[in-house]
Amino acid sequence: MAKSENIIRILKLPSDAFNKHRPVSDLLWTQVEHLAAVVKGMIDTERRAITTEEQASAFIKKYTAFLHQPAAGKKPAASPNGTRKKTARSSGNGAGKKTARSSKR
Amino acid sequence: MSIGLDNLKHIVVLMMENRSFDHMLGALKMVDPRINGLSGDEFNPDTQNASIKVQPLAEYQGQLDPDPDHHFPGVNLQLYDGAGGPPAKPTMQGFVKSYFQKRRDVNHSHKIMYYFPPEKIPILTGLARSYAVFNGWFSSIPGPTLCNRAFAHYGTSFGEVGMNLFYLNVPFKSIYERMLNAGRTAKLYYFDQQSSSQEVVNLLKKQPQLFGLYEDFLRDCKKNRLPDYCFVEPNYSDHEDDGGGELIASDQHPDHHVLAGEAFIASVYNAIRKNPTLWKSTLLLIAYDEHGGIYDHVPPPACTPDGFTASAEATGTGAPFAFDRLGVRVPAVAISPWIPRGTVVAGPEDPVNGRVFEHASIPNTVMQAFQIQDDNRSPREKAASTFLDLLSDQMRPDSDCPVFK
Repeated sequence: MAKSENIIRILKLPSDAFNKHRPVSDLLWTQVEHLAAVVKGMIDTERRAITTEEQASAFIKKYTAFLHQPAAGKKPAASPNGTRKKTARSSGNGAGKKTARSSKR
Repeated sequence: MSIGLDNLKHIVVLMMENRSFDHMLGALKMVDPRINGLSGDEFNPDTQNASIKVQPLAEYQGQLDPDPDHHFPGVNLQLYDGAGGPPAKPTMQGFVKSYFQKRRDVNHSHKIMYYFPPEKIPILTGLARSYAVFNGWFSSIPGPTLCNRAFAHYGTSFGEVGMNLFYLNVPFKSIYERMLNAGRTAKLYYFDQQSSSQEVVNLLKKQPQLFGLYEDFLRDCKKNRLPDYCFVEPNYSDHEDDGGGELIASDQHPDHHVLAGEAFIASVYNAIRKNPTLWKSTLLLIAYDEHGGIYDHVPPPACTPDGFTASAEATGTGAPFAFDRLGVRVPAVAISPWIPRGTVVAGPEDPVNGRVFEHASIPNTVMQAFQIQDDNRSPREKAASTFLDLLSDQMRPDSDCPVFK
């Protein structure tokens, strides 16, 4: 157990020491800019890696959820055309290969 | 090898922000003359040529606003007072004039010379008197935070003297990577996600597994899970946590409240101190990254160049920089029960026994402590003084080691 002469008191902070409205310092601003640059780079890397609809939709979902939180986690509405079952499709490029299909818009 | 070194299993570094040695510890000279602090006669000329002496009038908050200049050109003015430059020895006479430029207020500029009496910062001064205080720990370059912190992580700043740090294809690995490659453990703990790490671009992005939060540090201390080497970052901003609670900045960067930093230092120390297993096997270093533009009286010495050069355009002074001289002196305290009470590590004031330390001393000391062989390091790091010799054969009893409450 610490003896009283070994105890050094931590001085108390005044209640008005906290100020989240203080103007941002150079240090913090640099941190913000570094993070922004890193995130932009990450998004660009993700974007450039997209080649399929699945990848595109995953990207779109991720950043839609970032922009619109209530959309995240909700089940998608039922399609008026019903949901197509996955079936093996023959393709002109070789049996069993998935091919990109254009969709009517 | 001393018994203390033989028992060493962990090194912890806490790096605070932007305060000079004289500002925080200079008053200790009056208590212990071996400490190369202030006599009270030190002065700087102001813009009206009045001699402005140092005074024990530093305040916790609201005084150093606006933030003093600590970028390379500003520090150059502080060191040389606009007259001359390297290789001449710095005069340390330009601090008041530098601070005047921030607000153009003559009276306000004098505050850069103020320092704390020890009783106002009992945690840091208590640690300095109880363990080992370095008279000669300097920031690694006469410039700002990020390049100085880089020396602690990499042993170099790869030629950077500013705050735009994007290291590409770096020739030297960070100390954390070297530890992991050698089968050791290492971590950087940052305070929380709102504060994050200063090592965002390089380490956090590329090796997120190296990181943890401060609550992880506390838990790891309690559960004896501390890595071999870790680096702790304070809270860099006043912000609310997810529950709306107030979390005050604890880095002591002006104009954050200095007592918040005292409490944080105490928290880190207590986390180690209160675990007997950890306490007897851990060396804690508390250091500040740079002087923040605040006065110190000791001219920074020359040092081993680290092989990089910053252009005249990058330095903003009209002259290139060869990383061959150090930045302004900062507070640094080494803590362990194996360090004799009242140890003062002589600095350049002692021409025979004095040693010079800087942030590259950190990775060099860690390499030495864990006996990691890797010659692929900056020349600066390889030449940097190490501090394992502070650990003696005698472990001090609990009754001789302070606790903060």
